[in-house]
Amino acid sequence: MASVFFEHVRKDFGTATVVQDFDLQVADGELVVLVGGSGCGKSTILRMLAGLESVTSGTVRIGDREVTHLPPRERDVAMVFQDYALYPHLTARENISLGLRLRKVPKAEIDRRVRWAAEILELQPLLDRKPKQMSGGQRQRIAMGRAMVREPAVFLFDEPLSNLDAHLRGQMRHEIARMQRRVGTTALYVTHDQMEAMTLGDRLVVLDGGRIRQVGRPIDVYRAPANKFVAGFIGTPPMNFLDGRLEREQDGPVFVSDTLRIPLAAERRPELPAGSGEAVTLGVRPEDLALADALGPATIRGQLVLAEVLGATTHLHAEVGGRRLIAAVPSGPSPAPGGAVSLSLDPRRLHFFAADGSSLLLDSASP
Amino acid sequence: MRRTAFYVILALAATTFLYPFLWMVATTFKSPAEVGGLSLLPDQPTLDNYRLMWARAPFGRALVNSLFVAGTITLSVLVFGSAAAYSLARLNFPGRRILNAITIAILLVPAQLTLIPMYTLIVQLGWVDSYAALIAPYAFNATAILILRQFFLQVPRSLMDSARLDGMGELRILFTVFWPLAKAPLAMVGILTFMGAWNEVLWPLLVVRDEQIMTLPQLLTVFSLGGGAGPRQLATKLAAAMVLVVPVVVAYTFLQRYFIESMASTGIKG
Amino acid sequence: MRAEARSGLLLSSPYAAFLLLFALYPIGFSLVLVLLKWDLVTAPSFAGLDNVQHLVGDARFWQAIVNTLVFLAIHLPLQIIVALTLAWALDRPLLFRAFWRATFFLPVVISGAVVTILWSALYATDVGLINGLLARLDLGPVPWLTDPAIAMPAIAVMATWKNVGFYVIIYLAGLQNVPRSCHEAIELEGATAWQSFRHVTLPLLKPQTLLVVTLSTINGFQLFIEPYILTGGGPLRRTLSVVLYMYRNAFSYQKMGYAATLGLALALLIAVVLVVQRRVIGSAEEA
Repeated sequence: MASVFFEHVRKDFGTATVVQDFDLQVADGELVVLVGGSGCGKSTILRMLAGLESVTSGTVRIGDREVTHLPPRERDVAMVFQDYALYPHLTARENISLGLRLRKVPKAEIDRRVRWAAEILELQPLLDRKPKQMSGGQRQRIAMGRAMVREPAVFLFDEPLSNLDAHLRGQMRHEIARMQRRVGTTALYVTHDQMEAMTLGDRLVVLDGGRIRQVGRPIDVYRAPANKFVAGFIGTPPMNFLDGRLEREQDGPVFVSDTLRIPLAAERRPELPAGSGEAVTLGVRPEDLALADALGPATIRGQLVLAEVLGATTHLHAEVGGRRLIAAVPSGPSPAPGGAVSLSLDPRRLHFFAADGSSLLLDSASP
Repeated sequence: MRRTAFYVILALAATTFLYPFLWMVATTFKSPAEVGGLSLLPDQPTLDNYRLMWARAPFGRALVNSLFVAGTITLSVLVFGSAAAYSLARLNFPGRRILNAITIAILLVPAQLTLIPMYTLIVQLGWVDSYAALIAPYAFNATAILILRQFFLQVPRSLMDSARLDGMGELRILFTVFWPLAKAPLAMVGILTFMGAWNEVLWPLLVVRDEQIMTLPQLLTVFSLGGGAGPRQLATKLAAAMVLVVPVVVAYTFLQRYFIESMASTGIKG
Repeated sequence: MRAEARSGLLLSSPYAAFLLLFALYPIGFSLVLVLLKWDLVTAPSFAGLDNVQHLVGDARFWQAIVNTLVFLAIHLPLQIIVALTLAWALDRPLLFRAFWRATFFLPVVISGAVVTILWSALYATDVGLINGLLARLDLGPVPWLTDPAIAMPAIAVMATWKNVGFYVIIYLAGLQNVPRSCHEAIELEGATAWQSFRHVTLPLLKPQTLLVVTLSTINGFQLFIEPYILTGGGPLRRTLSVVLYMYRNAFSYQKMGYAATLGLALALLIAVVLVVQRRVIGSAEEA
């Protein structure tokens, strides 16, 4: 059990820089999720911590040990792989205990730990089976058991749920969270699924192109995204973006686009640029759009293209001035597709992004 | 650092495999005094060994014999074998299942069991010292037929049906529709069969005594048993071996991928 | 009869005829020959179980079996270790990988007769290459092929040299089926390279090892050209192989019945050995 430090870590593959100047501190016992699209470098960072990839420059520390150039076997980390990486010729019990047997841990201790992991993960009926006799979810639990019995300083999870079907993924998410909380080991978790990231992490690290775009608690990253990338990545359905300008008028700043004119409440936007005509992007989450009865100041009018009823919520896809917007509204009477629809925005829940993508809100963490 | 260790191991191993060949080549150009030396370049190269070898036994004729025998066998296996494989795979006829079963069962029978009875059969047919004796027992090959049959089974039936509707007969279909698709297995079977026939030695040693009919490996074997063990004899024997080796090595250098894939895939699948 | 059935029969009849004449008849006749005494010139005479009795008491036959076992005892472990080592070395991105592979596979392609003749030159006591190299190191000439105790092991080494390339390819294919993440997992668990090899790689190569053992065993029992050219079965019959003995009985001694008996005995012996091997290695996989 230890904290993890990445200091100015950089990784090059040939001429391509895959991870740039990565700094992160993970507290002891924390579960930090690295999330981003493919190629963002998240797996590479995890593997550098494990020692499975070399570090081009920078330092990696686990606790007070510097591990940057140590071989994997000396780092005291355990990893759960996307393809489970179970040894096909061994039973579940042998899979879990092999590492301990190799380290000459006394048999009594091995049995105790295996029993402990089996109890937490409900593995007892599986212990004498071979991997090919188990389902994906069961194999993943065995892989977790294997990581647990090592009692390592850090758990690493490399997209462990990507190979499972959607229903199982939900179940396993809870298993993993429950296990990590119970065992209390520091954990780094890599995923491209932002739902996993939101529900599992104590903190999120959003990555893009080898750079950190934002670090924070899930709710903070959701409420106050630091830039357009994070805003569009976190949240399902993704945030709607509208390009336009900020105009200063007598009553206060106004957002103007070809289809909209939204006056902004002054208390909310103290840091907006003083000038007029600044190009900005307006961001509004689908859940912050509501069906409006009439046209008002913060209302958008468009044509309904599609209504997806998901149950209690309905996603309305509307075409507004050539752009597609999605609104997540409670299910109920709504206009028919093809008809006109009015959506109102909550002016307190708007996001604004400058031309370089950075957020114009004061209370968000800088990228 | 570790990388160099690998290259050292590999280089040592490669030397163990290549050096004897190179030494063999060099020795064939050495005079008796130099034979046995380790150098790869003779001080006084001579063609005497080759001249002697060529004069003492009909190697040229044996080369032609080998080409003829191996070539005919390969042709037969490819043409008649694919006809059989085609009928087993795609045509419905009485006895098909038995024929299939026998083909598979044959593979389980070790060659030693049938060696002597086949020999007596050849003698009884009066085929001793004939090309027929060398070719006929190998005209078909169960392994080849199985490989081709396996492949033909995967050709979509629709291709066959549309060809039939066009009025094509079975042989036409086989050679104009199936064969072009089967280039890979045909090449594999071709290489395996040719190499097997080219290198076969025990069977010719049983059924052929006439030097004029002998295949190259056979003549080489007979030749190597004669004479003494002196340096001149050694060099001459090696020169004889060169006649057999050089065409194979040349073919191998250009086609190694096909050789390796053909010969190893029977092991990987099996 | 339908056209398809007719074509089928037509296309397969050459094959069927071939099978009848060159496969089924010889198999059946081999069992008959065992009971005959025949020199191919005069008419065969019925000999009952005389051939079998002779076989059981034939010192040469049993010597040949012992020789084969000596061969296998050296050839099998050598084959596995060398093939596995070379395959392991090749299982990574390397310069000239195709070249190494081709070099190791070269002897497989060359005819057994040529390889044997080459090694007769390598093993020659006075002018051979190996003794020449040993002389450079001030080591005495070794009578590779003339010492009864050394001759068969020498043949075993030669057979390894000839065939190992084939098994390198087999093992390479097997190695590439071991998932990389398994190696990474066991490395994280604290395994050294050797432990990773022993606990992950080796067990997963069981099928390949079984193949190596099976094919090499069959090869061992089928030894012919090697003793035929190198030693003629000597010295003191210590390199006599069953097939060589069988050939002599047919070709030189004209004893067809006995030769066929030897063939049958050999076939049965191979079958038994293979079954036993499969049991031993196969069950270790389950354990």
